[in-house]
Amino acid sequence: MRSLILNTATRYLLPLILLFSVFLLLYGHHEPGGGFIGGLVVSAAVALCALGFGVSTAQRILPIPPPQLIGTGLLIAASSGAWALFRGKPFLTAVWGQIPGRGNDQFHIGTPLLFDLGVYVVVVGVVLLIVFTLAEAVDLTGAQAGSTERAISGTEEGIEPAAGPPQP
Amino acid sequence: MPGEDSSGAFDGFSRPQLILAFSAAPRRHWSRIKEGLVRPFLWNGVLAFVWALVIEDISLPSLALGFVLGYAILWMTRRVLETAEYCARVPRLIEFVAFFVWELVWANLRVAYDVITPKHHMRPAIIALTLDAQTDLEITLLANLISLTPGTLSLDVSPDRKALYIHHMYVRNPDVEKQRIKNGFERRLLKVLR
Repeated sequence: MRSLILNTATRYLLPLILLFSVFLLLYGHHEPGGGFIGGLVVSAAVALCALGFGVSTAQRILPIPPPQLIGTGLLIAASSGAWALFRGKPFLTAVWGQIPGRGNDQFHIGTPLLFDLGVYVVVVGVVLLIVFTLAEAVDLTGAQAGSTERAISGTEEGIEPAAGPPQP
Repeated sequence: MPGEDSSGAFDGFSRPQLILAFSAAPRRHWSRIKEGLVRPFLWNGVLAFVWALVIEDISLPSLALGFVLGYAILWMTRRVLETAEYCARVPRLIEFVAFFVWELVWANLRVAYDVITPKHHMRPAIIALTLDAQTDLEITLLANLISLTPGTLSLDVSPDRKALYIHHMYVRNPDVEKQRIKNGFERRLLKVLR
């Protein structure tokens, strides 16, 4: 059941969804969003790709496999907490800096963003590990699922001459 | 047809046609360029615009940030959406532009120093640069880049398109200057174009 509509839509939606997840990650501190939701959106995009093009294609979006993503994300999040230790403050205390922008605008950047980034990566790793593990049991594009379906229907009905006498 | 008559009668066309017959240049098909470069570039522009819409600030800095983020996303999905060629070429283009600006500034300073100081440092010569560039576009761009840089001026291409004659103001050692242009302008230009 490889669908033309799903494939085409995936091709066009994938970059847009990924861009939106970056928006959620960066603007999540003051507005709805954040690392967790951004990571879920990325996972949804990759899962969409897995539905449309198969798991092996979807896996090629990720730079490293999901289990290693989990470890990397945890390391990033932990390092954001360690930053405060060098300032003599308790672990995970937020340290903020400022980047001067145009006019009176100032961008606040700090360790919570790094923590969110870690969460983002961990969520992508966990959800995709689940998705890929489930997808490996049943191929989502239907190649394997179709064959098992046919086998089941064949044994249940037993009337369909699927393996009937060879036609001349 | 009047167009065919006039082109056949006009004598000036015979020589360029002869030169074109000499060139065994590898030609890139437009459809390949469109798929590999133009379409990802348009995609990158769309992503920049969508980013500006999402953060509700359509200005040049936010469009530039959107372009950078869009490039990063196209790089992430390069093996799925087949944008690898575009993603590989953009850094080369940036490298080329940076190198050209650097060469331009440096050559300007060298010529300006010679102008404002009384002593004469010039050692003009004409050198023949053996070309790796093959197509019309490659040779034309290389010649114009060399002419744009102060101190060097491209004069002509040899009839067999194997060499480019350059007038250079500071030639101590011709081989050194040839290698400088070959490894600088030509190599970087061909990396962008091919």
